[in-house]
Amino acid sequence: MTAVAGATVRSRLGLWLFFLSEVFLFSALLAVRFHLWGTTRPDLDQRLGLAVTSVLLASSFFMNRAEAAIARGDRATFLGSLVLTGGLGIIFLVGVIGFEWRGELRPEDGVYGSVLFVMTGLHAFHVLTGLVFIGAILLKAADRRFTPESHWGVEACAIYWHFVDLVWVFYYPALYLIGSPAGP
Amino acid sequence: MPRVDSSVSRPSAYWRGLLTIVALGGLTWIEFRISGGPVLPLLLIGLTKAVLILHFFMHITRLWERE
Repeated sequence: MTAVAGATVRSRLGLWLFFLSEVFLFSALLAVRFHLWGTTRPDLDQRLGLAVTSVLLASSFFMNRAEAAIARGDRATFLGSLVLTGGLGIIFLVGVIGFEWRGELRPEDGVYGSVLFVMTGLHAFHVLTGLVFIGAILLKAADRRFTPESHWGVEACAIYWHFVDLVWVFYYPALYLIGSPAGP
Repeated sequence: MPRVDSSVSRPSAYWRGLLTIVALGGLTWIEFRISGGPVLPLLLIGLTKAVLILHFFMHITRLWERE
């Protein structure tokens, strides 16, 4: 194993250990949701929930495409897919913050409002962090820093983005689908 | 010089990503349709989606592969 390859292996392990700590954080909020809401949930806009979920899933597809493209040396597809991923991430944020947060439910509306805003807020903050990460990768890509042989930065950004998507896979049913509407 | 990762360098990587997103989309549609029902099916669908993302998008198997 070369020194560069060894560094990549260690960096990859470090990133996954970071995800492990994040899992504790997001799982704690899921536990809070099930403890406080039980088999009920607030009456949220189901179509909006499905729409933002679909947008986030689609962004993961384009991120995967960007990573595959840089590994093949396909620079145009890499840049285009990365920009599309960022664009879809922004649309997701607009859906959650611009529409869901402006609905009838407010943070001060008891357990329904507080849990909804904490869970979606923490997740939205991670999406925002991912967008900053994508911006940094685009800047480095402009300098042609990534090659098919060496692109750990792109891989790390992709894994982070997919992790944010993975969290939403559990948050979406917990917030929108499980239980019967009972909240405000 | 590290070698190019074989899991994303093959031409089939694009197709694998496309098939993965189609499966994820289908599962999301199913969970949307059974919303409000029993928790167990929703949990199983969520776990299936998580496995798909961990394996095909996050490439978790690279953790125990040597470069």
